Amino acid sequence: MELRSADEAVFRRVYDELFSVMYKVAYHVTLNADIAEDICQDAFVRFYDKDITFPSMDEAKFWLIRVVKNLSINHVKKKSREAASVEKMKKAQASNPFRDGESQLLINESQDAVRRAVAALPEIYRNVIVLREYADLDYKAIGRILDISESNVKVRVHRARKELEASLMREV
Amino acid sequence: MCLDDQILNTYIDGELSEPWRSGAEEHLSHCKACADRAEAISHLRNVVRRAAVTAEEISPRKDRVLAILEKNTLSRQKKQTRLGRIVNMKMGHLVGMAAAYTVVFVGAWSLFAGHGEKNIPIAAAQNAPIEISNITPVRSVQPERQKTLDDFSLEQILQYLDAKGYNVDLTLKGIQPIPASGIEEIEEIESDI
Ligand SMILES: [Zn+2]
Repeated sequence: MELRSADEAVFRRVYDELFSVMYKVAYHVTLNADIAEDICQDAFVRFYDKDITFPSMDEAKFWLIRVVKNLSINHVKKKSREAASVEKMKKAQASNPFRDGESQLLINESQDAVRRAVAALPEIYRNVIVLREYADLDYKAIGRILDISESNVKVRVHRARKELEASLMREV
Repeated sequence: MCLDDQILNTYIDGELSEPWRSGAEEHLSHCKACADRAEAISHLRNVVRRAAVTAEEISPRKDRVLAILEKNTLSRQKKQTRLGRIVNMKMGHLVGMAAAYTVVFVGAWSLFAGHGEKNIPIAAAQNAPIEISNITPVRSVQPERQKTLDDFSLEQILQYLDAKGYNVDLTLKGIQPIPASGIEEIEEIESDI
């Protein structure tokens, strides 16, 4: 069934169905609730204003998630440029986070640590992992949204998890 | 032969196709090392999923954004152009410059009718865009009101129409408006490699 984005009834249905997944993508990329909210709002304004007719809810979803992903990445890039020099200083001063002593390797499972680890992934890995785990999309859909091949998605998911595993390992 | 992490990740995501899928299952059923590794990857995946932003975190934001959209976006009967929005945002500083080049299209249907406001005389065309230069100012009913459209600045007219809930599309000709912090470009950003 076709969906016309500027049709108010359609818009409300799409909003109700997709806000949550869009917010998850924006949040886990930016790690900032207020920014994620702004990004979702911005995406929906574009959706409405552009008055696009989508062949299905899935197509609308891919479009919206792509917009949200781009806005989020854009924000992060801008922010990281601004913060680059500050971070450099912080890193130089940071002490060794690991304690001495016995080293049993475990994954840090705290929600906060995991969220930060995901958001700290290199962009190409963060994109696939956010779309896979938080938008619950299959490889095919992820490939379409990111405009990469399915086998490329496959490789990136694997590498993303490998990086996550390494960054969440901690000594206890 | 044992299964590497790449295969295991694909398998765990349910994306491994036949016959590799059956082959992997068969191997996992008798190789403890691979089964343990699959378990670890699966656990990691669940840990990441559990860290998802929660429904409780999302819900108030969903409500708030909808309220904002209802007020600012859905209430517009006809969509404003992107340019129109930029012009609105940059109104103060663009309008003076733009005025000379501007054509105002008023989606006018019985303009001002039923509002008891007859002070600004603008001729109304039925559902048809009208160009300001083609508008014949209409005399007000009250004799003391002799003002025509020319007596009002573009900004005043737009503000008035906006306040009354009418839709105005503003088209600039021959001026490049200042882009809204390049935000439109982001859709073209390549996220790859
Ligand atoms: Zn094995």
